[in-house]
Amino acid sequence: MSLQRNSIGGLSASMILAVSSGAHAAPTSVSITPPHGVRLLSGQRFDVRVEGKGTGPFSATLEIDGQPQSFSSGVQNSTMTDGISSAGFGGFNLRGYSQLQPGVHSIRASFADATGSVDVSSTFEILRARGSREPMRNIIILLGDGMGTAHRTAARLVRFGATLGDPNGFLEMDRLPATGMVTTHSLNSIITDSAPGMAGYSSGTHAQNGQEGVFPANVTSPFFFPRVEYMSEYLHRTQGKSLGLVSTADLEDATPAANAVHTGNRGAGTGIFDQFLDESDSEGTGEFGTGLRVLLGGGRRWALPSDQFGSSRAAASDYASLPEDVLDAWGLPDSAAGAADPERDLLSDFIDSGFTYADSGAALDAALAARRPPHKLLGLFAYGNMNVSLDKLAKRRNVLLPGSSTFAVDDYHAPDQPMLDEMTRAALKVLGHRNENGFVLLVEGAHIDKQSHAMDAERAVVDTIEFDRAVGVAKNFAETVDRETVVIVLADHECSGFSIIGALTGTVAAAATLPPDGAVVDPATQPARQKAVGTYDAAGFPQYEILGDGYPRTMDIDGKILFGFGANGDRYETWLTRPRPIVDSLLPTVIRNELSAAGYPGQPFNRSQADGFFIRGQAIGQDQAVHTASDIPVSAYSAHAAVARQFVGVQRNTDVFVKLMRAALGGY
Amino acid sequence: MQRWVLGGAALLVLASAAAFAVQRAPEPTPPLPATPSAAVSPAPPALPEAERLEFREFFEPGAGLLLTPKLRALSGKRVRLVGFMAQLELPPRGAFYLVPRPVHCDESGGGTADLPLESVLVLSTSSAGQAVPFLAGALEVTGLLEVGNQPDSEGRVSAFRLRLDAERPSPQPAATPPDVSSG
Repeated sequence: MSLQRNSIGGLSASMILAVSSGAHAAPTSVSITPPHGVRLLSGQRFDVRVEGKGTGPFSATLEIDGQPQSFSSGVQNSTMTDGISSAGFGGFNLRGYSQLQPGVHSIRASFADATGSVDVSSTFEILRARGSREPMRNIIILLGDGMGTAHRTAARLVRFGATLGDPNGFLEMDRLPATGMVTTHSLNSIITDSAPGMAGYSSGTHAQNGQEGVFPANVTSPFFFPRVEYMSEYLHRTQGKSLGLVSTADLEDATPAANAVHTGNRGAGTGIFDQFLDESDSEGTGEFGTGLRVLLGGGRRWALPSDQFGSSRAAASDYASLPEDVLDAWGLPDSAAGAADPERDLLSDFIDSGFTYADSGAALDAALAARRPPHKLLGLFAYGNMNVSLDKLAKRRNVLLPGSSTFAVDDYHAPDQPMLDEMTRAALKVLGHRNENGFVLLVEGAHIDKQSHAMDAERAVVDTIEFDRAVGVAKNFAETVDRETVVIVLADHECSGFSIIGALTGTVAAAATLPPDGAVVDPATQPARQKAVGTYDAAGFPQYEILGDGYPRTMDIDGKILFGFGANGDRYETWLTRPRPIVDSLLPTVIRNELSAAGYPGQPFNRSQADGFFIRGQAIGQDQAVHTASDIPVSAYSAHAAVARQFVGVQRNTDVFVKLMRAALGGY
Repeated sequence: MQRWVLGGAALLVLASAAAFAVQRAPEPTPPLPATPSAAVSPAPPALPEAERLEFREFFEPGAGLLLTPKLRALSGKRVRLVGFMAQLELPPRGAFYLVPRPVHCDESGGGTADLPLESVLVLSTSSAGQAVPFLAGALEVTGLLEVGNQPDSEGRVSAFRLRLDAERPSPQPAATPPDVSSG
């Protein structure tokens, strides 16, 4: 009996040929990791895993290019499995494998349980990135989370305006010399979340949604998943490069973590923060880890012991000691094994490992005031996510937003937070100081995505402007400080936009029978606020007043630009900036309730119900807007034009990794 | 937009609005007699008076997260608190976060990162294991306050919890005795 199985066991190992040799029954969900057809770099490490579901005892064999392989956990042709597989599963791992020979390679495996066996096969491709051109010492990735083409255009129009058909100016990212488009799909969906979105750039491989730096597997801890080596690890191990991570989000969030942490659960913040430090190679041996030297953003809650207020550390989001073969194969010392230790004082551990710590903008300035910058820099400026730039600016300008009586940053117990460009400047000062080996730096503008989810166009646009200022800092570094640098600006996916918003559930025939909702919303009546949208000629050329800090005085000007959300949830729209805090905690209860009763904006669906016009969500109901499958733009700069030119055209997200590695290895 | 009051009969609104109502029979809710009758339903011991607590009274001014004497004194006591239900993409089961201002948290990883530090996890026994349907607008909750970090089964840590009073109108003399421990 033979059968063809696709999408085995929830894994996307499509097109693996599986042949059952059992007489009547056989194990199910048999799969090989990495997924079929994965592309890896010559010498890039990855874990190979054979697993299946059935009735034990289990056994397995593995061949790569016809050569039998020894499992690092579990034993060939025996019933000794890896001991970390989920209940009902058996698994065998070959950790830390790498292949130098370019080309397509084959994997064949068999997996047996008490009822029979299944043969599976797949391929992987090894790419060569090394070449004879000048290698780039530094890689700077600026990622505007959720930033699609429309976000960039909006930021440009607000920042500069346009006249008689031409923009009055261009953003820093607009002015980078090479621009292309990037696909954004993940291993298991056309629509990615931020974890696989970043991991595609940082590892060259697709991850499953919610996972980063790993391939999917059925094991007992998300931190035990089969790993794939990140760019940071590869370049730290082979070139001694350092890593810097800068974000306006809580640093446990997917984008920063998907450069340094291997986990099947992007929300496991305790373990994620531990791994930042434990696998940073704090001694600088260059034999393992990321070489993390800069970590700036939010997320103090993960660095405080669990008994301190503001701590979010918990055993359930941590991990017990990594399997022995992971430590051995990845060259990790015992000190990097990890432990379920919510009581850990990680902040002190960072400091003991040589990090200078800053908890505010003023402290950051002080840390950099010396002639010689610190060798390592940790800045945790908020307990969770940092605040949105609009709210940080309100505090800096000492001007409350309409409808609020306090500053949001004060309410978040983070009154002095640096802007993204200031953090970027700090990171480059540290990483760029006498660093012959160079660095990889990620800078994330996180709230472009988060505010787009919330369908708060004004905050998303101002955050895009903030992000663009960070682009300017990076470009200046690559132009004037170290010209052996490549800078790319891109997003991990688009959020909330005007493009594909999902896929039909059920059949077309069933969809055709769904009842209309015209009785609920009368399509014949045009809402007044819909009439207020000036289209074509009536839109004209709105012009915003830009203050000395580089940001608009207000987003609510006469004739302001209006934005829509194609992947939206239900909402009521007024077209005006939503004040924040909307209904403030420092008001008497009676006033809070009055404000709420008066229809002050709250959640996207509940904002402005009294005066907005109802817009039915296309992608989802009374919830936030969602990511889309749209391609996103990438722009690149290097003093070496051929490096930047690689990014022209339409490319896969995983291609970005290959091109950056070619820049670092001279193969562009 | 109406204001919800939880901790008494209003919690039934949560239960009846929840999707799980179709999955299991609603818990019986004895009708409340218009005129309380000791013969039918003996008067329960009165609940201790709930102390009014404001979110701004949680921490001392500044960024140090020092608890105020009032908050520390109210730990283990019955309090009344007004705020908003945080809207999370992946909300906790049998509970919701009460926050001082409307908050909408996206994606699982960054979800609780957007919650203000004063966030109170409001625990509802009647909604155990179920997602509490989102309610917009100001909420008033009443129940036992717990102060101190505590993780749930999913690893989410709450610094403050409020166990709602039993799902009956506690001030009503005809109500059955309150179970404030599990409420």
